[in-house]
Amino acid sequence: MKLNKRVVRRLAAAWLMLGMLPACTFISDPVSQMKAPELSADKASLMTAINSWIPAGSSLIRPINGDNDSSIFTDDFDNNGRMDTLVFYLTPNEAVLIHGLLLEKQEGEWVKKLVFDGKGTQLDSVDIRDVSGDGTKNIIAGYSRGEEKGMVVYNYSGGELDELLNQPYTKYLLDDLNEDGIEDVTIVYFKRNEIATITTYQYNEGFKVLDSLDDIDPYFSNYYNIVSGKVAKNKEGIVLDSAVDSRSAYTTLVVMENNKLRVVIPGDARTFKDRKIVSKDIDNDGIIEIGLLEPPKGWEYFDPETIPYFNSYYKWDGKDGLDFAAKLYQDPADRFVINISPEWNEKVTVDTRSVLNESLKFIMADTGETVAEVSFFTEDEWSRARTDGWELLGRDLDKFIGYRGELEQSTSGGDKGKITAPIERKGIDE
Amino acid sequence: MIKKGMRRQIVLHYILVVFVALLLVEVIFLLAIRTYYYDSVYSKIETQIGAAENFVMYRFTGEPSPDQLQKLLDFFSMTNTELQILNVNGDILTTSTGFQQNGTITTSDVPEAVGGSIGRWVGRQPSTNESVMAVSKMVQLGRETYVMRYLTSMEDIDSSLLNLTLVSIGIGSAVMAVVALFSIGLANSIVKPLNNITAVSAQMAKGKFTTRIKGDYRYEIGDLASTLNYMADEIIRSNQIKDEFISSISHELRTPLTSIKGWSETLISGGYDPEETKLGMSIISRESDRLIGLVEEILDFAKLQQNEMKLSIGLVDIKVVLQETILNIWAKAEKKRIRLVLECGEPIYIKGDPNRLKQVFLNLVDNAVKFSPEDSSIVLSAEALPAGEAAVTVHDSGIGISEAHLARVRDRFYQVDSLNGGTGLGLAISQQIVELHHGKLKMDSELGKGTRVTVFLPLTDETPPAPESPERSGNEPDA
Repeated sequence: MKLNKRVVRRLAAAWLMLGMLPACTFISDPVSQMKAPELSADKASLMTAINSWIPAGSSLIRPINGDNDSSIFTDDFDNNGRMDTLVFYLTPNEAVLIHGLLLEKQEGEWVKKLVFDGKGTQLDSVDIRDVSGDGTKNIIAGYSRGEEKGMVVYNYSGGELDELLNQPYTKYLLDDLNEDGIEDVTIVYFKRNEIATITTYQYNEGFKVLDSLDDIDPYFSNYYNIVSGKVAKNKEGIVLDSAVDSRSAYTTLVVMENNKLRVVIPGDARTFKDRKIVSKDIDNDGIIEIGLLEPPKGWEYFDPETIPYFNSYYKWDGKDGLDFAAKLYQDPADRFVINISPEWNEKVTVDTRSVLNESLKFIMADTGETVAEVSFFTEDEWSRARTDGWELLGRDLDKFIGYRGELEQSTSGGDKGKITAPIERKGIDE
Repeated sequence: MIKKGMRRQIVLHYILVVFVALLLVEVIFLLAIRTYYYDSVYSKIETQIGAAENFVMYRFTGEPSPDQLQKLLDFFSMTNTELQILNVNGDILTTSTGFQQNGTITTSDVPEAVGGSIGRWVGRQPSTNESVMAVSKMVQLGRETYVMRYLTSMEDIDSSLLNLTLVSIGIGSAVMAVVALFSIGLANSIVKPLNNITAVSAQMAKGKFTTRIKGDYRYEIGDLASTLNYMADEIIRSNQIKDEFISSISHELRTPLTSIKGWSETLISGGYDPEETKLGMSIISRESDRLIGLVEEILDFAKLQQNEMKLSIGLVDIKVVLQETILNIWAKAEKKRIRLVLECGEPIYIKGDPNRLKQVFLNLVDNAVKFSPEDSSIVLSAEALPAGEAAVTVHDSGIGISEAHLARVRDRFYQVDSLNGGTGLGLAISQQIVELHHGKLKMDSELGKGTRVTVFLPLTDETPPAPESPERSGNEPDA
């Protein structure tokens, strides 16, 4: 009986093993069974329709710039109550590279309405906005071919696509500069050492030039930042940051008054800076500030290359002056930013023993008390430093950037010794 | 279906054990496979993230460019997955599907990724109800932080897992079927002999003690079979003993009755002188005594058997009992010119029933006389052993008892030679009386040289009241 039991057990085990063997062939590579998740039903049907209309070998493209970087734009362009979809696709081997495809949803089915040719070799930007003031949405597409860029404003209605405006541009801005309630199109066009213009178009049975500035000095490198928006309370304007060379820059502020463009802050010594600071709404008050570079107190006579500059932001005062708004320390390589609260603006400076890319010590200008430190560590040093109270502020390829302290006067005398220790150690390392 | 019984029990137990074992193995196997599948997918995505991350780190340095997200999408994108780029709040910034997608991802992988590790989430897409795995990792780009979230469909993997599950269930059922077959065989190997034994023992219960369990069974069942066979043998033997008893007791009863009947008829016919009448009457009386003795012996035995024998316990001097025994048997011994020798020093006191003890010694000495040759001697000795026991020995130089008989002479109704008369109860009764006194009865014998029977009885600390025996005071200094 015992023998019998053992035999039964062995046979069962053998059977199980034999059973497992064929199962092994079922265990296929799971990675090969991965697949992209399905789209939801409406998206899937749209995708099927798009794929059935674009030629084989072509692919959908997305605008490389601009706020909207998706490749499928769905909206009711012609305001007829039915959704439309716009896609751009690239046909690599044809003379015209870029094509647009418009589809309309009719009774649940996506129907091809028309195909149009794009320009250039790349799709730069796409905006869907009503700039003609007729309630239908316009398609504003920017194409590029190398350095050259051209923008087209399309109007789509009744199943037909019309070009309303076709202009070369460096940057186009959709805004209501003259504040008449209808969006206008402002085109900034710049060719180095040749031409720099700002032209505002208003739609009135076709785009008409509202005003144009063409006496702008074109002798700079490029515009590295152009923004439009509120530049003062109740005033729309355009802020243009121009790079002079690879390092220095200046800023120009343009507003529209009585349908006329006017430069209120010219790009002169007042807005000149040794670093390409991007003008933006730094304090989130809705108004765009102009960034300037300011050496910390005590550093006035140092080599500009070594000065740990503060970024100070100013806003237009409405006339021809600038009002201080905020101050911060931005790393020259943009690896980190240290904000300085408004009440400390005047009081905080940088210890003159600080060295860029090695260690920075923020101190009180009057008492010399350390309020914050930034130090650059190698990987080995960092593992030690993190136990010393350093927080990781940022990092680049080979350096860890540690931050210690608050921009508050909370560090007591006893802590001071500790804070200086790593900096001294770094000195020994050199 | 198998009918109720041990066979079903065994089969069910066996199947249950194998089922539980299989279930455990399969569950563990399937869990391991599932983990392997899911981990493979996860690590594939993880590898992609790692590779892209290294690349991006060298690629994106310095100022942020406006097409940063697009480049990220290009660098990170992976076939068979959907890539979403989120901000740290989980808001979708862009996705590789090309659709404008707004909304916030709230699954657990995003907070995990924001926490610094690689987030992993498996669940169903709300829009398509598709089983997906999401793997998220936070990517630092200059001062911008994004969460790269990969989505891949697990439908194919789940379905192949389901296939695997079905296959292993199939294998499991096949194993169960084989096990069921084997366990039926196993159950039969146990139940069939049992059934056979049951049938034979039923025959035995009906009185057919000559039937025997045949077949070569092993282990416990073999033991059971041989025990039953042995039991049947014993029943036959004890029946035989009983039959012999009845025939011998009938014979024993008939002999005195014949004598009584003969003499009483002779006396009734009359015409005899008083001498002859007296002789006849004494013979009738003696034979009646013998009958009474026989019947009493049987009654004693019956009482002992039913545990109804009452002892009147008192302080007993063994020496006195032995002396009385010798006196009682003297006449019988004298006929064969056998000398009875008592070897005993000072009195030995035990607690017991003197009459019953005397009955034991009478029986022993009577047996000794019966089997001793003429002109021999029988030694009765008594001594107190240091272990708190009294040992009374009856030693004869008679015919002795062979070893085979020695083991059984104490059995009821057993007679070495039934022609010698007697009931075969004497020793059995003696043994039981001794045991009632918490004693032991030991027999040693050698064929042709004689038998020695020793009775061990527990001594008592009690001493008799002083005036009873005047000679004791004289003996005491010797003690």
